[in-house]
Amino acid sequence: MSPTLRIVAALLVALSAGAVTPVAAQETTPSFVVALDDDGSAAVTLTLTYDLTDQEETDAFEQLQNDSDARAAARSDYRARMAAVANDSENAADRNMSIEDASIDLHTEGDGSLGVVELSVSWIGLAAVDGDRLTVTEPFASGFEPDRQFTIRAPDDYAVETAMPEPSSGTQNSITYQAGVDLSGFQASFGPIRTGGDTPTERTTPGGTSQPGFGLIVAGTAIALAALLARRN
Amino acid sequence: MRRTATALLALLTVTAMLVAGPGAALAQDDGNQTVDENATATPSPDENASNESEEDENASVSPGERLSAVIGVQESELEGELGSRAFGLAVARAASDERLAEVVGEEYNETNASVQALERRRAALEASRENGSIGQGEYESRLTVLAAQSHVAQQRANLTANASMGVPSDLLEEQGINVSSIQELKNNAANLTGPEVARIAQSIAGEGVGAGFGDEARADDGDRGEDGDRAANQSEDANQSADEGNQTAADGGNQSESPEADQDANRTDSGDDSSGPGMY
Repeated sequence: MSPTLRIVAALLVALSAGAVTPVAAQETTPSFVVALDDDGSAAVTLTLTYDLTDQEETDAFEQLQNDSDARAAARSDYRARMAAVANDSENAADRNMSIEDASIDLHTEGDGSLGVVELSVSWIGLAAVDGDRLTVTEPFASGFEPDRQFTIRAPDDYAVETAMPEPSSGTQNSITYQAGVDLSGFQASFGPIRTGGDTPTERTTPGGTSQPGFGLIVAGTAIALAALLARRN
Repeated sequence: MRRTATALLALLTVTAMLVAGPGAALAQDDGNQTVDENATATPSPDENASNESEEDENASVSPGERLSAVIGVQESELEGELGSRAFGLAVARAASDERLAEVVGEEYNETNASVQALERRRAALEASRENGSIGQGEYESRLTVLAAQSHVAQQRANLTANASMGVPSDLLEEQGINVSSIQELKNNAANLTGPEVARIAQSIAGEGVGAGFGDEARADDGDRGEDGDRAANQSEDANQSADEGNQTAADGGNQSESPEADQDANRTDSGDDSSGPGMY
């Protein structure tokens, strides 16, 4: 093998080794997520997680999964309590709000070592609708203290226009605050993505970077190698 | 040679373009909110909670403060429910008095630590309110969460006491506990809150704050919520046998919600109608 090809081969091996980053399945973490619809309503989901460290905890979680009455009670409680919050928010925001529907989901992750409970309600009128702009204030603007990651996500064809205070992270259509952030004076607005071929921009979490897929790296190096081999032939 | 160098350069350039990440991390707000836990004030359980009329209490809690309380209470209740079920299974599966004593001892130690932590947090909360570092609304919101956690601790203490009955005293003492210490634990847990705290918690998060989801747990606290009647089925006793299987999925008599749709692998319930919020 010529020195040139040895160098190229070594580069490819090095690049391949560095580019193969095993993608570990992301484990669910505690969160409070508001998923907005374009009519101002939202699915509001509270996610709770429990480490199932022994057989009794695992079986207890399974019991709860199988206990329809207990699940119904938890679901009903969440709905009733969120209805009270919506009632307060309605008065504060001077806009009709209501809670409809409620659901509860229990499942395990991580080979059964993590129990996940998701409680969700449909909140009508959570965001103010002004033309095609969605604006969210209450109940997050008045003393809400997130004890877990808090995310507001607009429809996929929307983008964040304003967000106060500065989010911890986010994407084109979502903002996320970490636990403990002071949300005094909170306000966030979202609007439809304007024409012009906007490409999604990734707002990364601190300490992270955005990387392309491994497939692109392979394709790029393969093209270059093919050019080298063609020259050699 | 020149062509080789050019090809190598092209390879390196392509690779560099593909690997470089374009994103920049946003600044992270690392704000923490802490209550001064070094405060030395030791208020009585209910005195400070009753400084304002009930009407003023309701008006002083903002929507966001109520939401914070709701989230904390919901989490505490589910955690308590899972904990009591797990303890019941451990008790039922104890194959000997020695093992049962170990199970009781472990639960005693965990519950005792929890009670002590709740006592400290309650004292710190009272001090923070007294020194003006938090307002009435935030105080009541945090107090409501503490009330839920305190109720859970009370339940755990009661379950511990129940499970210890019939365990030979010498085996309990090998675990560092006895009838007196268990009774003291129950008393300390019961003293974490009082009627005023319960009233504040109820005004924010409804009746039965901290109660489990079985009927036995709720019988002492009454129904809560605005969506109809609770099911009148028997709940599982904490000392129930570990061989119990799935419960029958009878509709719980909650007249405002549609029948539940159970799945095999995961358990998902939707209320009201089929157009409920999607699962996340």
